[in-house]
Amino acid sequence: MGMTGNLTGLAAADLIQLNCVDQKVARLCIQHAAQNAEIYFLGGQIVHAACGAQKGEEVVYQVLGWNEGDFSLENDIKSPETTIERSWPSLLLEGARRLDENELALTAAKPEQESESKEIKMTQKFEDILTELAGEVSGFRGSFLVGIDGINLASKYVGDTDPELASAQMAMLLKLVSGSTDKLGAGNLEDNLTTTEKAYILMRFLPGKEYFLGISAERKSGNLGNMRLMSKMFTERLAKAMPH
Amino acid sequence: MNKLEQVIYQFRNELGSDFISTDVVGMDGISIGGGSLNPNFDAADISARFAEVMKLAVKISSKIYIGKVDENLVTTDTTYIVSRFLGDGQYYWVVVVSSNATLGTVRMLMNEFAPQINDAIPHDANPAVQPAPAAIMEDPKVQEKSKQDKPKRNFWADAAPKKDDNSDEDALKIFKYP
Repeated sequence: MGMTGNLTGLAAADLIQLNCVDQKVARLCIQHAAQNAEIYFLGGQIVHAACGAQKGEEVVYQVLGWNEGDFSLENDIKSPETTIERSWPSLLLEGARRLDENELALTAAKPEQESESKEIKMTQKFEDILTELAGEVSGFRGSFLVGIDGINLASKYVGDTDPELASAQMAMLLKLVSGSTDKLGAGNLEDNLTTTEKAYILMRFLPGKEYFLGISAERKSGNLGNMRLMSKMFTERLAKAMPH
Repeated sequence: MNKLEQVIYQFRNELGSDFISTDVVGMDGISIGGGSLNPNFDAADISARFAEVMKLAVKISSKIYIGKVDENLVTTDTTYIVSRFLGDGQYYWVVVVSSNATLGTVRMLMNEFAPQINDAIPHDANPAVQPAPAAIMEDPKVQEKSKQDKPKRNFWADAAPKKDDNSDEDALKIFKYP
């Protein structure tokens, strides 16, 4: 004599509790997806559980997480071995704790995954804008979206420029210039252009002055007017692409 | 008026009403000629601060291999500040004009006057090249000086006008420092 049913009507934890309280000698078989688990009861305790090659407590914890599947209970079937010594209340408690932990971990991973995906999209957006800028600037060497802390958010460059180094150096100069103009009462800084024998380096704050756009162009083929115009236009675009 | 001051004076007149301040400055941050028309702009302060800016620009250009620094242009909502090295880089020249100025004209005039200004600087026996990065102070922060310690200069008030030409006097608005 036994019993059959489905886990949607009777949860695995309830089945275990019923058999243990009744002090039955029985075997509970549960089918879930492509898995078959067997749980053996003796003297009011679970003495053995097996699922494929796996044996012991872990099978019980696994089964407790199954929400659907068919079960069959056969009485007076003795266990072939003893692999579980923990008491059934303790097993159920531990199983419940593990289920709670898993649920929390899944909930936490989702927003992290979502924000990570958002970050990747945002960085890609910045790089797309910088790629477009590269096509607009004569003698283009590099463009860098940089935090005022000197950390590079996105970059587009030719040659063997080190974007991290360039970003950090530009941030140092821009901070010094910004501080100087503030202290001199010379107005709100809009941009800083450094001309060297090889290059132009133009730096312009995005609104809010937390980020800036650095553009570098070849001295020989670059056009200052074009650089300054593109700098204005693209800082506006980058500002719009920033998360709010 | 010495030769340097004469050249600076001519330059200032070319710029006209957009002029705010100009100085020829040693890389120690001390001005050797020039001054400010606007009492809100302390020429000594500008000289010192932009010496640090130029030194940092040199340091950075060497780190990212973009060659010798020629010029730095700062644009604010009210002013342009152009600073450029003169000759071998022992001195730099800073010009502050209002944002109403035509920047192209300012730079063109600076190109024209830079050789004259450089020639007018009394150079010492051991001229130094543009400061090497190793020689540059690591900390680019400007040493804040007490306002009372800074020499008060009014170059334009001290400059002797030409007797047979009143146009300079008419054009200049001289601010007298307390």
